[in-house]
Parts: sequence; C-alpha cells; structure tokens
Amino acid sequence: MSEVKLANAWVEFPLANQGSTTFTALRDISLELSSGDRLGILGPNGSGKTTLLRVVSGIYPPTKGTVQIVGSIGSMLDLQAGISGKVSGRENIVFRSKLLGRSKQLAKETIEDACEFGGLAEFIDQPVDSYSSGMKMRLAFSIATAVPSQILVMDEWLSVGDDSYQAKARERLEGLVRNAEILVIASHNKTLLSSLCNNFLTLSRGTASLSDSI
Amino acid sequence: MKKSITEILRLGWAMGSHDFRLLGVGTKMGRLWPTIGLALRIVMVGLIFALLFGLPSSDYIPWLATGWAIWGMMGSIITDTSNTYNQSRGLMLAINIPRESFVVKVIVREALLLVQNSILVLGVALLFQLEVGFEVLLIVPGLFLSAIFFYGLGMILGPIVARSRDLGPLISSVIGVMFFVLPIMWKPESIESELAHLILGLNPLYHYLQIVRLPLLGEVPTNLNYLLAAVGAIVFLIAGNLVMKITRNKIIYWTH
Repeated sequence: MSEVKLANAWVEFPLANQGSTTFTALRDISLELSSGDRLGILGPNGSGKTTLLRVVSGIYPPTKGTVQIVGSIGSMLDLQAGISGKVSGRENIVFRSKLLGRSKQLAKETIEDACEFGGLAEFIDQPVDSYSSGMKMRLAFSIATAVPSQILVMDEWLSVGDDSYQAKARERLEGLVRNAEILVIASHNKTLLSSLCNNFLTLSRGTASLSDSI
Repeated sequence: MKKSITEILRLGWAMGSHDFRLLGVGTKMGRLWPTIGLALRIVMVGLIFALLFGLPSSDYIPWLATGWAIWGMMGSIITDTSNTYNQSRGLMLAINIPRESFVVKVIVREALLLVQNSILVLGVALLFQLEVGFEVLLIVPGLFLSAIFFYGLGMILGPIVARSRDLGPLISSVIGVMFFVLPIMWKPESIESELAHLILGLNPLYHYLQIVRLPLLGEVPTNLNYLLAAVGAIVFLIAGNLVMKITRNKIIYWTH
C-alpha cells in the first residue's frame, strides 16, 4: 500500500549571492495520495510544477513542513541527470543500478534491454559522450523503466526517439502507468491529464489548489 | 534521507570506486597517471633537494616519498570533500542518496589511489633497503583515525562550501600552502626554535600525517601524535554530524 503525504510543505530557494534572500517556489502545500490516486498537475512555466514533482519523489526535502513517502518511487524526471559521459553505456547502467540498490542480475537485464529494446548494441561499450541525444535518452529510458514502481512521477508525457522507438516506448510507459499505484504527472496538455488522472492540482506562483476535474 | 551507516558506506564505496576507475579516463595510461606524476615529482625533487642541501638520498627520498604520497591523499580529500556537493548536483537530482555518502566517496577514491601509490613507496623502500619491522602495522590505526577525522571534516566543509562558494578557492589555497608548512620536503628535526615546534604541533594535520607516515619508515609515532589524532577524530566526527543534521535538507538547494 503506497502513500504520499505532504503537510504544509514549503520550498524556498536561497538566491545566489544575495545573502539570506529566498525565492518561494512552493507555498504551504498539503496533499495526501494513496493507492488508486492519479494526480495531474497544471500550471504555467515557473509556477512550481517540477519543484513539486521533485518533492514528491523525495529529491527535494521541503524547507518547511514534511513529506512522507511510502512505496517504491519511479521518477521520470531528469532522466539523464548523473549519467557520466566519459564512461560507456554499460558502465553507466552498472553504476546506476548499484546506487539504486538493484541486483547484478537486474543490471544485466537492463544492459540487454538497452541493447535490444533501445537498439544500442553496437554502442553499449562506447563512452556516452559519443552518443546522439536520442541514444542518450534511450539509455536513460532503459534504466528508468527497468523495474515497475508503486509511485510513478512524470514531468510531461515522455516521448523518446524516432517513430518506431516511440511506439514501443509509449507502450511500455503505458504499462508502467497502469501498474503504478500512484501516478503524479505534470503537463500543459489538459486532454492528456484528464484522460490519465482522477484528481488535479493547479499551481500558481507556488500556491496549489486542488480539484476533481479540469 | 537519513540512512544507516552501512548504506552510507555502501553508496560511498560505489561512487568512490567508480570515480577511481574514471581517473585519467581517455588516456592510454589511464588512472596510472596520478602515480606516474607522483613518481616524477619524487625523483626530481628528491634528487635535486638531496643535492642542494647535501642530504643522503637514501634517507631523504623515502621521507619525501612517504610524505608526499600521504599528504597527496589528505590534501585532495580536504579540497574535494569541500567541493563534493557542487560536483554531485546531477546525482543528487537523480537519486536520493544520503549526503554523508558524498564525503565517503572522496575518501574512498583517494584511499584507493593511496593503495595504488603504495607500489611506489614499496619500490622506494626496496631500493633504499629500508629496515621496516612490525611497526608498519601501525599504519592500520593511523589510517583508521585519519579516515574518521577526514569524514568529520568533510561533513563540515562540504555543506559550508556549498553555501558559500568563495570558501572553495580559499581552502584550496590553504591546502596548497600546507605542503610547505608540513614536514614533507623538510624534516622536523631540522627545526631549532621552540616556537616553530609549537606551531607545527598545533597543526592537527601534522599528527595525521605522522601517524600514517612514520610506520612506513619503520618508526613509531609518539603518544602525543595518537592522543591528539584520536581527540581530533572524535571532536570532528561529532561536529560533522551536527553540521549534517542542520544542513542535510538544505544542501541540494545550495548547489544550483
């Protein structure tokens, strides 16, 4: 049984070189999600969507208030963050799997997946810096989707690669979304959100308002 | 985000050993380069200084080699733990890793490099037929106390430098000067004034250098060396944990 609970959560960024001045990215947000909840997040650029997604995935600890997360998190944010360009795709998968506490067997399967599903077989032992941006994305996608997660967090619907790859990536993503107990997705696309979600949160300059429909 | 010490060490080891493999990546000699560089420095400075100051090279070069190898590790640990959060922003955004692990990472990488560099020290010891007995085992407590001290220090410097970037270059400069202030190229025996002895003894880094280096030369560090190193390790471990407690949740916001 998974659960995400935010209680009066704030995120205030210190402004570089401006002493103790801060920028309030999220203001006093309370939120309770449990299995079956599918939350769609709306709001213009700079309203705090990505910040909220990072809080929900445990990456940003609230600067005030609390967050409580129960269940495995699958974060589709910043997929390429922390990927090291100097080493091969294979080594990146092994390294990332270790950090995520995944088994060696799973790392091996991810490598196979990147080779077959991602079509990276020829390049898997080449440094990632030599990959095209589409190839980097496919590598990251294989790592991110190697295991189903109870809580799935997405920033826009991920569209990866060319037509043939996009079709099968979409299929896999839909499977993950179906099987996730909790989905949190931010998007500018209202049609997409209303087809995926059963409750909605609109952000405006860091303040949230919840609703059942959009 | 707070996790058990085994998890902190596991993740620190994974990142540190990964970093170690990345040293000199793209070059043919790869991660041997730091060792080659150290060898060149020891040979060149060793021969020139032995000549300039009329020191017997059989005595001077082992002193220089052990000092430089160990200070190289300690100095890099200090400068790199200071910058560890600024350099790890990508990983922190991707995975929720306990902040202590980014300090452990640097210590692991530098310790692995010391293991690699110890081949050099061994070569020097064989070349000059150093007489080393069981004293060499004292390197174990020496490294252990040092590891705790530098872990504590890193947990203080890392967050502070993430908050105030200007301290990074300042720390690098101070560490650069330490090379001359610490007895690496020169020997403490050559000091004659009491005041100079006191200044040297008041530098905590001196004691950590001694408890790791002297056993390699077949000498036993003083009780005072051990006492001060142990006190320093405990004090900094406690202080480091306090700083971590206060800053843990803020670090990621300081690294943008």
